[in-house]
Amino acid sequence: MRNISRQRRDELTDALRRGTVPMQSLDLLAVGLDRLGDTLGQELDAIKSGGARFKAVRGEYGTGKTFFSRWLAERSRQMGFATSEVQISETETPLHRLETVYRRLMERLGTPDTPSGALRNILDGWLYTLEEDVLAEGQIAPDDTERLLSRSNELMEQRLAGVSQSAPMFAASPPVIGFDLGEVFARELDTVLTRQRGRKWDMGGAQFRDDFSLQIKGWLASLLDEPAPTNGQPPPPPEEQARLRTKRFSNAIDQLIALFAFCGFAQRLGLEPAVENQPAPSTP
Amino acid sequence: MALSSRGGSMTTPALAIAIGMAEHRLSGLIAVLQRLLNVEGYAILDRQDAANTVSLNVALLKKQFDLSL
Repeated sequence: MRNISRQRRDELTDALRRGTVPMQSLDLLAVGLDRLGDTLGQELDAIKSGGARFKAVRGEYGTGKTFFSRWLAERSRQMGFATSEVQISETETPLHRLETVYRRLMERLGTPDTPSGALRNILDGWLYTLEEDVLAEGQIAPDDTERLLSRSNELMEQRLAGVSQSAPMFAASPPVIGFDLGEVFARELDTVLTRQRGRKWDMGGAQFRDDFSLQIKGWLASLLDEPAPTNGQPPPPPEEQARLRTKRFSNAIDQLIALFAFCGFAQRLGLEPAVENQPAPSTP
Repeated sequence: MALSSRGGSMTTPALAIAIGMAEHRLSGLIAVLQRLLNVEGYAILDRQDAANTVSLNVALLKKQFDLSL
């Protein structure tokens, strides 16, 4: 039996007393999903070592599809995964405007410590680790802000070198990025679409690809060119502007790395069209 | 911890001074601490961006980690 934290125990017994469904702890209430547990556990292990899996769950209204996916998400979070849930909706997150889907994915990103909106924590934690690594080298004093920043930037570049090998546009300089990125994403997507052709979410080939490419470019341009809020004060000196610009740029890159991770997943999804027909769990 | 002496919450600049750390590095430290403290997603250490405030839920902390301070 796993350890259950005290707060969780109290919440659960309270929920049982009131007869409501708790926000968390679904795994402790779930019944009948155990037979899927072994397979899912193995697959999560495979993902942990760099793989990817795709699952389709089919079932009538009220058979527990949402319950199953939230249960799976919670289970993965307990294993240290970051999870995200997006409901595709015609108005807010339509599939032909994938940037809305990506944005929602990142908004809803959850980790074991932060159930929602965890992207910032993940990045902050990562940058902190970088700085700690730099400090551990012993060459730079903790209060030497300038050198600490420049050295950790250097280290960041080195760590991201791996990413830029698999995704060369991250190595490109800012002006080039806006141009190349849309196309790279479009290519990724095209691979998916080609393999999915004839399936439900074939969005219409070349035309869609071009639109998508344009949208990503536009989005990037808006990220990079957005003027900094001045609050009615005179514009900051050039060095300050340059600093802000760099900051916005690195923010944009952070978001894109997250996006790209998803794209990589989407591509694998195309390579492995493992559509499983889960028999609907019998409703009690 | 400096936080609990102030009733559990402080603004980020104040906290940075209290623990003698550069402010820009504080958000990273908070992220790492949250990973440690917020077991099962319960916000023992919480950050409110709008108010630029960090808060520590001492009661929850004691409960989750079986502490009697």
